[in-house]
Amino acid sequence: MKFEWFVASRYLKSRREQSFISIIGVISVVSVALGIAVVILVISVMNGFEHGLREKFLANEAHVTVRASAGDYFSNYQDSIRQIEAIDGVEAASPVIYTQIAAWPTHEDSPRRIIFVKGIDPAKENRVTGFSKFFDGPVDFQNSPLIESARLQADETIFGGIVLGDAGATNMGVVKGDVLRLVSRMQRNPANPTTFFAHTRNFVVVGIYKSGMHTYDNVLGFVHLDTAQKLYNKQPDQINMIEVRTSSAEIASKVRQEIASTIRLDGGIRGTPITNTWVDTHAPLFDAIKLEKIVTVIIEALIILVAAFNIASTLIMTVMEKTRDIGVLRAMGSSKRNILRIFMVQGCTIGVLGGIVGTILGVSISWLLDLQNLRPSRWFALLILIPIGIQLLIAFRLVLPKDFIFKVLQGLLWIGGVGIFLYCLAQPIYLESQVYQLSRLPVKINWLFVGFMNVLSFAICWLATVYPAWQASNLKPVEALRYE
Amino acid sequence: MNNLIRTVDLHKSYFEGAKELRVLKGIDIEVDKGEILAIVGASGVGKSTLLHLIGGLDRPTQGKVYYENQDIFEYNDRELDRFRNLGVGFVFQFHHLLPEFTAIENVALGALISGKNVHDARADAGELLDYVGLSERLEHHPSELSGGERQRVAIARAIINQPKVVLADEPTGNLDRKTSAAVLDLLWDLNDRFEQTFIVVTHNQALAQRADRVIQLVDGKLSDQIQMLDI
Repeated sequence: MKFEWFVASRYLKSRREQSFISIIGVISVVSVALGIAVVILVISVMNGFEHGLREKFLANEAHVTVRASAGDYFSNYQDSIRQIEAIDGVEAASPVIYTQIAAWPTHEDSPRRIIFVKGIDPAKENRVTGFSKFFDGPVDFQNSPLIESARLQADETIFGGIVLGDAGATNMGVVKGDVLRLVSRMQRNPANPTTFFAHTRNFVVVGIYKSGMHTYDNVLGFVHLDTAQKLYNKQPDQINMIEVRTSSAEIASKVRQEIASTIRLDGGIRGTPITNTWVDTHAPLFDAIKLEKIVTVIIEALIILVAAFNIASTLIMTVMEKTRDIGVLRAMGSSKRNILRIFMVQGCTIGVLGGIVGTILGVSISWLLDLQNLRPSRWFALLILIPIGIQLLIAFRLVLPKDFIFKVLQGLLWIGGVGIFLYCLAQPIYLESQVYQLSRLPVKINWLFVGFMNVLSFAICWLATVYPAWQASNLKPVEALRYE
Repeated sequence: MNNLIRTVDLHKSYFEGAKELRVLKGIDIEVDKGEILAIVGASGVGKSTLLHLIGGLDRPTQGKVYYENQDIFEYNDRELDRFRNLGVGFVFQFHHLLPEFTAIENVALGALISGKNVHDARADAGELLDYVGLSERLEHHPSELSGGERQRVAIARAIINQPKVVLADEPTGNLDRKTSAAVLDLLWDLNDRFEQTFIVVTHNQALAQRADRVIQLVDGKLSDQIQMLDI
């Protein structure tokens, strides 16, 4: 292969001035590189988004939930939890009373919002969802000093403590220590049937919850399980949901089936539990992300295909330009195989170079987007103009890069310029968390995919070289020599 | 049968559709080792075609070419490539040097094709260029060389693998008289020194007169009468 490499490499960096094939070669490399860089970047962001959502879901939600039918309460939950925890793959199970409830701050007259309230046993719940890491400090639902001081200040009966999502708290205009009214029950007014009595209970905001998922932070509140049972007049062994954590999120559906087939609850319709995994809950979202990823890969593969056509046309032009040289090489004893390889090596080199440059570019931009340090202003990206300017001076022959040191310096300037350019431009992108659920554009590089994309692009480039190389190798030496 | 190259009843026709253009109509030549044979003839009479057939670049319509008593068209592709690489060297009228490569690389290519490594090939090429008087020009590209220099590089390229025979197609056709003379001196010197056989297609009278033997092609056949052409 030495001979083929020798010739191919020389053709790639063709020094003849009238030859613009090397420029087309550069363009081919750039187009392959762009295709790969963009696909790596886009897929990394999508992966990051999917991963970020999963993390958030998993941090906020149990892997499996078990309910009695139609939200009914069931008794003897301790037995059910014991049975569930005995199932293989279950790490922890926690009793919950999950309800929707109208709430408003005491400084207003009417209900402001409906919130979802989870009555939990904090220690058990923490083993299932790890939710306490989102609290703004240690929380004592029942004996917080905030409850005592509110009781003294407001001179009202305080039912218990509640932890509110930060967006919800902001929307209602309450802060820690404020009192919130929750409507436990509505009752028709016997004297005037078109009106209702609201049975309200006062809760003190004892903590703020911030998961970064707007859906949760806006509508979720936590109270103690005992408080919730009292609020709804339930027995101490009655709940309406069991949350389950499995040893890994992937086995959730297996565990769900096991629970559905073996566990009978003391309540609901014949005790048949309604079970759900976290994936079921969010299936439409994950399906949409998956579909989007597939579409992206197809589009990017098409971009690389276009680049491959570029390579093919570059090579066909090279073959035309070098026809006589091919004749000379054949006269000197090169085999058809030698000629075939010379052009295959050229095309594949373009593909490989494009792959390397594109991978470096895509991965470094992805990495920079995820890197959370303080960056210089985006204007510093304009420093890239320095190497570009020098290159232009060279192009217009105002500066002649004859000596080696100059070339090395110019190379370093380019590398530095591109580095600074990316460093300043590829800064983390902050998102409207109310829309995207995540506060920052997340990035997660999937190396397997990066490898796959490189292999795919190389295969496409390789295919693009087959025809031109075959054409070159089949030139008749005599006719090639006569070619002008 | 001590001749190096022998052609037997060599025919070559080109076909354009159904039309047959007969270029060579039965050529029998014998060339001895160390001989310098000049082939003369009018333009388009098939001199170059004959040279291409002898060098295994093209296949005859009929007839055989023997190289050291071996029919070269019985070789398979691989053997024929090897024959062109090691057995013969070509010198063309318009030098046909590869423009991307320096003088020394152009010369070294033949050795690279034969499988030598770059270092050895360059060393051999450097020696040859020194011999043809271009030791100062090793790293120049063809575009930076004069016509005579280019042709000397082309000659060095033809003999890098020490072929027994060099096929030259009007090697001085594109050079002025003085430069031609220098190139011819070089050919004869090579012939003296390495006993290389030369088959030279030429219009150059001086060359034809110096050659050991001259044959003339007329209408695709060998002519008995040698008429020197005026140049």
